[in-house]
Amino acid sequence: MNIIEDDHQHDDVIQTLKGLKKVSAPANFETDLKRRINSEKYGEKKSFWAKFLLPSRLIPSAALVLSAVAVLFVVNTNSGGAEENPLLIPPKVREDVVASSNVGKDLEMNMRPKVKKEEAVKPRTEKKITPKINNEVPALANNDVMPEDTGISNLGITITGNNPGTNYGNPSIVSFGNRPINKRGLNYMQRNLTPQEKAQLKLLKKRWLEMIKELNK
Amino acid sequence: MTDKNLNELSDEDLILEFQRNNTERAFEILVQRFKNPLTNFVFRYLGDYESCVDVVQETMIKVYRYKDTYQSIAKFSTWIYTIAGNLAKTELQRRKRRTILSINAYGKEEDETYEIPDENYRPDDMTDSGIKDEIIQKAFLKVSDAYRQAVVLRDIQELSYEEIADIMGITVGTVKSRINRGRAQLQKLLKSIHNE
Repeated sequence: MNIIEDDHQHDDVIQTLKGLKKVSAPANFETDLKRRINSEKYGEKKSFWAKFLLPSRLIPSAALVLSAVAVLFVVNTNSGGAEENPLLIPPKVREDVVASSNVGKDLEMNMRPKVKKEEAVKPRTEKKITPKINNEVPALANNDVMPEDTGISNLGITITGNNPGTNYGNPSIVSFGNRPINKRGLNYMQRNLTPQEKAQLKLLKKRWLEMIKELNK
Repeated sequence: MTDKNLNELSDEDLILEFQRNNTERAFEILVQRFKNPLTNFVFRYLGDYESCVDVVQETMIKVYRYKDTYQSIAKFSTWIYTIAGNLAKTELQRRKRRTILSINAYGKEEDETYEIPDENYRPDDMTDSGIKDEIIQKAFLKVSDAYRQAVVLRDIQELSYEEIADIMGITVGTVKSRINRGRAQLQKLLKSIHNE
């Protein structure tokens, strides 16, 4: 009802609009349309991949990729020549790695139980260590274990002295678990000590000698 | 099928003939039937003849290319008017963007004032019917887009409310309200002409 009323309300507008001239298409509309349709027929849109894989686009991009690879190869080859061949460089020996890895393995696999076994079988070896000749430098009997307070026994290191003349500073065979340790077999690194380290080493030597003196008493 | 037979077919039958048998003549007849109504509709909506012809041609091309998307459940006129309406909207948006750019191009320096040419007609010229037509068209273009499309389809193309609702994709109630609002806006704008 309201709409009909509104229609009447806007009668003048409706009449004005109806009185407008009819606009028609131009005379050449159909000809133009046919031309456009035909041109679109021939130039039908292709899919993205069809466009992308056209030889006219593929060849330049492939050439670009190949040239980039070639440049990278040349640059890489030239820069690599100045360096030493890593396969020919002798491996750097690290003292700490050798010690820690070997000690760890040996402690787990061999040493600890063995030391305990020895301790269990033989009551205390300290008494046996007592030197036969007082003036001589004390020597260890075969398979003797160092006293605990030295700290070495904890690591499972045994020092055997076959030669009675051998002193502790230069034991004939130092064994580490089941394996004997000598200078030749050791994979050690020689390096210059800092004054601090030298001082520490001196202190350790001093303590070591004091300990031996006490043992001799 | 002969030319005479094709001319007797309805719009829906013609597009089906074009779909099934690719009969180009059926398409040509459809073009003949719709080129003028569509031109009138798009011109009243856009207000520019050149772009209007372009839009109508584009509409026909879309019908030609996407003929298979037409489903016989809808009226052909609804389908073709929907295509034309959408293309006209797109053109209008494009033109709005272009206008913003061209206004910005007027003043290149910061202090320079914009001088947009005033193309209004003097009152003594209004007697000429051609100019009157142009004034109405200009007033029409000031009505908001959604209302204008509804008013054109109803008052100029004389389509039913249901058809307009289908074309615009809105309910009949909304169509009616838009038409009324559009008419009211236009009435205000055309007051001077109506008072004569």
